[in-house]
Amino acid sequence: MAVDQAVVVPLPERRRRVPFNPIQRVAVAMTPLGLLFLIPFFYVPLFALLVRSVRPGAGQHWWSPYSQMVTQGDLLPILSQSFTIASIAFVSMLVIGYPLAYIITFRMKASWHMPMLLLLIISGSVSDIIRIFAWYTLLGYNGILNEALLKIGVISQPMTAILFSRLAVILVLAAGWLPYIVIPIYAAMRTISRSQLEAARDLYSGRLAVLRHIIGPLSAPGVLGAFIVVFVPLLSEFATPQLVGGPNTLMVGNLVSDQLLEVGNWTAAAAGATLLLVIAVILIIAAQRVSRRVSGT
Amino acid sequence: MAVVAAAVVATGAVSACSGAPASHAKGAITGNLTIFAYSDAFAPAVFNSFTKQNPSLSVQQADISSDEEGVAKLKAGFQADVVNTCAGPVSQEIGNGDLQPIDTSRIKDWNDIYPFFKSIAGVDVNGKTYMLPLVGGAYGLAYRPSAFPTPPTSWKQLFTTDKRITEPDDPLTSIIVAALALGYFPPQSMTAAQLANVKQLLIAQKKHVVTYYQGDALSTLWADNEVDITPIDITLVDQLHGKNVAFAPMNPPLAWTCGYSIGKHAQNLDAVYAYLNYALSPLVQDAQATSFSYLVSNKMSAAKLSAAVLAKTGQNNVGKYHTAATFGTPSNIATWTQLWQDVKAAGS
Repeated sequence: MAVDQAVVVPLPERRRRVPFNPIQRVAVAMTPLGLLFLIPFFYVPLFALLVRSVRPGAGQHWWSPYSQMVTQGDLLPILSQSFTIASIAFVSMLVIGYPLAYIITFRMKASWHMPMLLLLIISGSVSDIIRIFAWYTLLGYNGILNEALLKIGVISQPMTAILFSRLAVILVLAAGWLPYIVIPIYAAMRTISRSQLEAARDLYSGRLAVLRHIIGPLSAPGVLGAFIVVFVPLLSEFATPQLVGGPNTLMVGNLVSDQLLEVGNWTAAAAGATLLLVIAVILIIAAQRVSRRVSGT
Repeated sequence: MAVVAAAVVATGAVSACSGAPASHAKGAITGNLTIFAYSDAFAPAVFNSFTKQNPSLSVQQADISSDEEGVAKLKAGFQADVVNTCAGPVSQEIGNGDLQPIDTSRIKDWNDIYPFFKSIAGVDVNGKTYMLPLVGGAYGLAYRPSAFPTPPTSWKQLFTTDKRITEPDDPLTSIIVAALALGYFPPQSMTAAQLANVKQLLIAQKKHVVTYYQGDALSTLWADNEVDITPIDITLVDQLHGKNVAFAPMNPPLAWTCGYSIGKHAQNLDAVYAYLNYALSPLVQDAQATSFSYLVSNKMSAAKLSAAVLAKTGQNNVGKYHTAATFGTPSNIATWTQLWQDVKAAGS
């Protein structure tokens, strides 16, 4: 081949290193500080919990506290109940929270976003105990709901099946955690470019198709974030089942709390807490995989 | 005398160390004193006189809201000089090594304490005294007269009624009451077969149980008309807002006892014994009987109570409590607590 006919292949440019800006430099410099805080206040207690959970009594194996919880204790039925309650509460919140996040993101003026989110945050900032006792006023035997239904003649005597039931636990959990569902989903939806939505509409896509093929997949990381922030703590709830639950609404959090405070068995309580932690990690990993598949990343 | 609604503990036992001033040399006690007690022990009308009489003593208050919290905190290392405790949790606290024995020679009125109080499990362990018994009370059934036109007369009715029941979320109280309903006495000596029967009884009861309450939640449940009947300490009936509530004493009687113990790490023993003697003094105990309807452990105090108070508290018949069932912790408490967990989990 003649030289003048040779194809010149350009050499790749050397990647230029962009220097950090001042804010980035500060962030990088503070990273060790964050680790310094995490190590004694998070990782050390976590390690202590793990160590405590494998300190069985005399003549037992290190796994005895775990095996006893499963075989002799009531862990499996209570775990099943916890999953049921947490799942129903989470799905209920998603059914309400996802459309709410959509409306705030795409149907409200930008100037309304912050006030709406602030309203949600304020509602979530009320003390749990006060919020739970407010439900007594609403759902109780002499509560507002019973009074209203009695007045309009729907019932002839107050209902007793609402408060102190699984339904009450699910309602209170869903109402209390709703803000924490909306915020991560909103944050994910905010990153969706309007031009993508307009392009879809230009190509005659209906709203459902836009939701299914664009908004849904792109907001999946937000739903994942909501799952991590909400579902995992729901599993370990103990105050709500204790205060508004009935005699059959024990959750795993109550089991751990009872082992610690009633039984005084710290090893069993540590084992229960560690099991919850392992379950949480498994759930998060599974949720991440589902989210990646849905979002196509 | 200000009546402070005390936290209803899982055993229903509320201990107060309150009342009018006790005689004590002013300014003789110095240093620090940490008192770990239920909130009514710190009611200003009864507590301030102790601090006024000991101006050089720095007194720190730490509240207990339940027996379980008290046991857990002490086990976790919370250091208190004086610990408010009751028959039941005191055995756990002794077992956890959180208490030190009381030198009864330093308790001025020790010989004036009713023998019944001294014989409570947990007061004396292996020849050493760990709890200074101060107050007691009788358990029975609080019921809503509108739901029970005929007052209940036996523990069994708590398990056969179809009205709305609540029970404390406490293995000791709930199992003891069920044992008494089945005629097992003393409850702490139940065999495995008897415990199995108790478990079945408690599980069968669940269909009429609204909730198992903790702490002070019973007041709210009663005021909101959520429940109709519950086992309760007579001294707490007044806290159920007085409306549509009545108390039925039961047979066999079930009595609770509370008092003070000395924390394992207590150093300022002069201050500790000054406070213990203050708590046992007749004037303080009179206030407890008058304000809270407690049985009092000091005979000198009981001798000064009015006939009305004696009748209301049952102090005039304190001898019958010698044969009462008590909240003493059984030797197989781990089995009891697991039984209670099983009861709560049943039906989940």
